[in-house]
Amino acid sequence: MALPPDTEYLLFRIKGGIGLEGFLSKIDEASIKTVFQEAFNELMSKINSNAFTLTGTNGSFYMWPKTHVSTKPSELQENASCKSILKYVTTEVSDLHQQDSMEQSSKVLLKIINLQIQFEMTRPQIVGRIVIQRRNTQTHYKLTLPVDVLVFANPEDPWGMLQDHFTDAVITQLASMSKCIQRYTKGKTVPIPQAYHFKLPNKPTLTTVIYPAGISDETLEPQRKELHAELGLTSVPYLRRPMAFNFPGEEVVSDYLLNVHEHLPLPDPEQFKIYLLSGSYEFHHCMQDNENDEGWGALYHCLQIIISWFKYQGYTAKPVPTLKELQEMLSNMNKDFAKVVMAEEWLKAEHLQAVLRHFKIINSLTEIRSKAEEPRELVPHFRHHGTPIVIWNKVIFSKPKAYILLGMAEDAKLNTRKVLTLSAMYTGPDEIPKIIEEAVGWKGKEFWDEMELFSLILPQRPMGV
Amino acid sequence: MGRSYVIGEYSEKYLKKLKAEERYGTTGILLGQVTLAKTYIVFAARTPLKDQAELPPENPNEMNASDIEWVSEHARQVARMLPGGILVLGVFLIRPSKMTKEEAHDIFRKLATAVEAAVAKERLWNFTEDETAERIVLQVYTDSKKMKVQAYDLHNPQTPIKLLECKSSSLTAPWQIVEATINVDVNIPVPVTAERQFDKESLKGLNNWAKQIMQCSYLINGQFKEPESLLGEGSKKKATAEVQFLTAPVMIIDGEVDALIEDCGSSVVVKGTVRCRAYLHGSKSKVKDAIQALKRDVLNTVFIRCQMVFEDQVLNKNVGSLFSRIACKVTCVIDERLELSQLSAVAN
Repeated sequence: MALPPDTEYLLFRIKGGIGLEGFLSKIDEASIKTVFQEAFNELMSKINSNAFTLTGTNGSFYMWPKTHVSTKPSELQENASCKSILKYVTTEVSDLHQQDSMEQSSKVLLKIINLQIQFEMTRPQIVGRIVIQRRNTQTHYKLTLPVDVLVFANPEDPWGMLQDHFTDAVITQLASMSKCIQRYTKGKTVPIPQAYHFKLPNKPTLTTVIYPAGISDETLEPQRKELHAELGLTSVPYLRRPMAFNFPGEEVVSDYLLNVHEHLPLPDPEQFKIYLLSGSYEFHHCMQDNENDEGWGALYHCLQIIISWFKYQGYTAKPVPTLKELQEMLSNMNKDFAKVVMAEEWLKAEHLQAVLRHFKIINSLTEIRSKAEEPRELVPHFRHHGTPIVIWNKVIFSKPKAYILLGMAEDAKLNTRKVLTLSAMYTGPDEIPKIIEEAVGWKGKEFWDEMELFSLILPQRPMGV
Repeated sequence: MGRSYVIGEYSEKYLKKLKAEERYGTTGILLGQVTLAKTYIVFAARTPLKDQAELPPENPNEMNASDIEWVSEHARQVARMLPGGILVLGVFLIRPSKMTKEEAHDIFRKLATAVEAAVAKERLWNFTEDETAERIVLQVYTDSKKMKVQAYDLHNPQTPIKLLECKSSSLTAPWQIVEATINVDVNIPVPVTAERQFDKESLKGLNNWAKQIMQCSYLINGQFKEPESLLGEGSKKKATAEVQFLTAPVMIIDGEVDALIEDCGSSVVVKGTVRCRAYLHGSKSKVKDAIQALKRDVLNTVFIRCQMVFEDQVLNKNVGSLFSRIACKVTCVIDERLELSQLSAVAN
């Protein structure tokens, strides 16, 4: 389904915790898997019946997708366009940035309708006396499935057809969850399958993947490779868990501001080809957190920004170190480093690389001694690795400076280039307007003149997906 | 606090008949409905005599602990048969003429408390804070036509006993009825250690199910209705309202990673479908009261059936073989709930 740009679409998000519970007589891995498979089969039939109900979050609208019945039967008939439901449910709004092969950005506006899964317990067709059975020596299992299904719809689609989509979509997800349990159950440990939604470059809608909870992204690489092959994706990561789409209200929470460059308007896309870093990072800078490090702390903060990028992309589980922790780390490495730390001196390449090695971040160092010239490797770096770059100047006669580079813009016709810089030397408050004014911006040739002789560290994104 | 008691025609006639037969000292139980302002006494039934067919002691002061237990057990067995909305309200007594006012206050309080405690054992639910804890002893005087109600606040034994007039009313107007067919599917793991105390521990698993039922959402006649609205609103006929229940969503616990797999000694599975019903007096009942009464009936129905199965297995230490005979009698009718129409039919 190709979505023309600047249109509004309906996204139904069907969520609910469904309990799976029962008893096992044998507890070897094979028996556990069989029992869970049966439980899922039973559950899928239940969804495909009139027990399956959906309700709007304000609690007054109910519908039965199997039988096409609802609490508003006259208003929501089979052929009514599905946007008629908007009168009875609350919605949230979000947007999806689209990047097609021409690297043109466009936005698709989404109206998100959240629906809750409920089961009806009062179906008269199932008749039977109460049977109370007692069985001996058993094992009890219990699991809550966090079902989270997305169904995209054009507002003009007919309501009748849409309800069938709901049932099919939920059954499809349950089948995937069952597969996940069959694949990742080891011994007596049954991981809970969780749904993640990703925005992929060659698809207009979000793609849902089921991953087992409690298993690291590293271990899941084989599954991601299979998915990449299935979905026709290149070998750049798209499906790592931290890269999942954030719905309104689910944004990542951090003590620091994230992705401050997003508040800047981009250079004119008609004129420039833009290459930005991918993923998220935290903005660390001087004089934050009551640290008194103006004049010497900027490179420590550059390290924090780099490490935060690797954390948000799920490449490291370690927390971003504080300034003090970085100082301790360096002091503990060797005596010479300790002296530099004590003296609050400007850090050098060897210090930066030592810390990055500690965090297992592979990087390449370029030291340019000759006259200032724009390095040519920036654009390929952003295209291939998409990581933020640290740049700092050789201190001879001028003040030391350190920046993070976040992207490049190229105008092929006029042969001009701009670079997106973020200053770790910023000492102002953590407020977006000030930051936009002083810390982050697109700069032209003047930036390279300012930096004169400089060094770059380009962190490498780990291989694999 | 202004609660008034209303006694229905049937019960009044029944009690007057007992008085006429000079059955002094007879005690029995009272059934009816408690609403926000009034309590309606719908039915009265005297406690059957003990095996030896002795007449009850003329002076209630002479009631001993086993007599009190006898009445309580009667109340408990009857409570099992009641539909939603109807409760055991207390006890009645045909007063002998010699009895003085001060006598037997103690006994009365003990009776009311014991009856309520026995009946409460059958419940998986508790009364809410705004529901009254008043239970009564209704006295039928030999020398006057009046019937007096002594009301005891069971939560606060220190509050003074209130002596109230009991108004009569025919109570024959049709009651509002809500019904539902409930699909039950409960899995209860019984821990290994609990093998001895079979009924208490096994049935704890029903508490989770009970909580879910009390929290679930509802629809009346296929539509959503606000809890504070009137049950009878919008419908022309006073037909039985059909209720649908939908499970409340299950909480997803953050940080939960694996399925729970634990050993248990044995398991109890309760599966099937029951028909439940609740009655509401008058035409001004609110939706939330109707739903609460119906949900409580669901819990009662399932819990009582489970208990009866377990009672078969556990030796009944307290009252021995006699009660198991009575219990058997009750078991036979357990699948036919006592219809309120049967009660009011008798009244007419």
